[in-house]
Amino acid sequence: MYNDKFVSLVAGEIDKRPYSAPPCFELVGKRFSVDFIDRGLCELVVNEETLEFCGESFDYSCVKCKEDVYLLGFGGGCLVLDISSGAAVLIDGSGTFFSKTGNVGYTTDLEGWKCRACFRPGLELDFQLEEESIICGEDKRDVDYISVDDSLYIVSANTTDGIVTIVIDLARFLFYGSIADRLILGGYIENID
Amino acid sequence: MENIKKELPKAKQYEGMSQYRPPLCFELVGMSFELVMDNGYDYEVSFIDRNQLSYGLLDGEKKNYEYDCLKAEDDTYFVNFEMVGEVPRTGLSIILDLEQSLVTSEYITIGVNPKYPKQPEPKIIFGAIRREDGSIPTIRHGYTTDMIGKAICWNYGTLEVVHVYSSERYYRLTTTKWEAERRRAANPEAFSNREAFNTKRLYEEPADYIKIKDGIYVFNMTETMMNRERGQGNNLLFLMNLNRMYDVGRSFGYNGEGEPENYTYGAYGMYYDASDLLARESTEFIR
Repeated sequence: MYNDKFVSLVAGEIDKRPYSAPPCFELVGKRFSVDFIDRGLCELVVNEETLEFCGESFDYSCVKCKEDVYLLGFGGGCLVLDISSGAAVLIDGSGTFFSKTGNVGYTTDLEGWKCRACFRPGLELDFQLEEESIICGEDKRDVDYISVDDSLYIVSANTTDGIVTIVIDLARFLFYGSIADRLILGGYIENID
Repeated sequence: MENIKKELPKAKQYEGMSQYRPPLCFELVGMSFELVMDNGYDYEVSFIDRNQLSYGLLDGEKKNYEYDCLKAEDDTYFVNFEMVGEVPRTGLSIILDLEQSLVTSEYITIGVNPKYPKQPEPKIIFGAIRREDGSIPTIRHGYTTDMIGKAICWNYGTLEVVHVYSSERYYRLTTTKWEAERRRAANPEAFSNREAFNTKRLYEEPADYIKIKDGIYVFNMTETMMNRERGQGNNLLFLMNLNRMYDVGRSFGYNGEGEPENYTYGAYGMYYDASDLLARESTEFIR
């Protein structure tokens, strides 16, 4: 089903059994205005089964990454929203956009780390995070590192199956992620000695 | 670029299995539920804010408690709190099933066993949530045999274990082959001693299995064998979503330093072949 080798490895069994957190409905009934750099003001209205973003309606899913931080998947991409600071990162087919509010942006904080990500029992992958790229075994690909707050980061990479977006909470060592707009990844992260 | 070895930041304080707990769920904030329980009492639980709920008899005094709420499924919530001030020490975990208007609760007390003062004593009570129209369902969550013969490897971040749901009233514990190899390599002597023990005696504990709905189960176990052997052992309660291979739960008892603990956690799981362990006869319980 997947063309990309890495995506196939971590998501290959997903359609049989999600191995992911249940959906979060905390945002249902809420409305947000986000002013994105280079994209302008967008209204987000979250309903039970659909959301409206910049005037367009989408089916969506939502998981909670951290207190007040949510990952929403819709329209082929995803939105990371921190409702306490107003920070937002939109990653979709047309690019990556940061909110004017909050302290979000590209970062070099993660470069140099070696970590192990456990997607589920029996599937642990080691990663070497380098300057603008990530290495996993023999696989090396270009990535963007984005900082949302002092312990929450996003790693995103283009693949032939869509943009892979991983949100990493380094306060609890958890990660959640999407392939395009499918919020189907999640797990734990730890140091490698 | 200079190759600098970096490490992920350390956790601010040691939280054990709770370190990797998923984010707490605040969906119930502002909501109240009338719980019509089969022990003959009706209760009200109200989620005041993200941290506090009030709980008590419907027509009686309510008290405020700090709580954790985790969700395992779209409409199924795991709520846990210590009933601070109660003697003996008491905890309460409530599984709220909003889809079916049903509730399963577990009261847990500790300090009542004169020989094993750190042994938790669980009591499971089934009930219903009164609907907006005043009705309550007649059906209840119930004990099930669905889990018998299955084994699941659960990864709690810092800990990976295999729960073997061996029979209707008991469970067994083991590790995966890859975790066993890791432990052997880390400490061959300790590993060898453990293997020798496991050959003579089969670690097994009393357990309950409750079905909430298709794919959603409660697994409750109390470490009574551990209490007899080591003087302490906890009660662990799990709400498992086998449609997602995801669970949430809590441990109630005492830690290694003798301090009270009552903490929540979450895990991802995978079915595991534990047929060797399932085939063994119990060395601990006659049946």
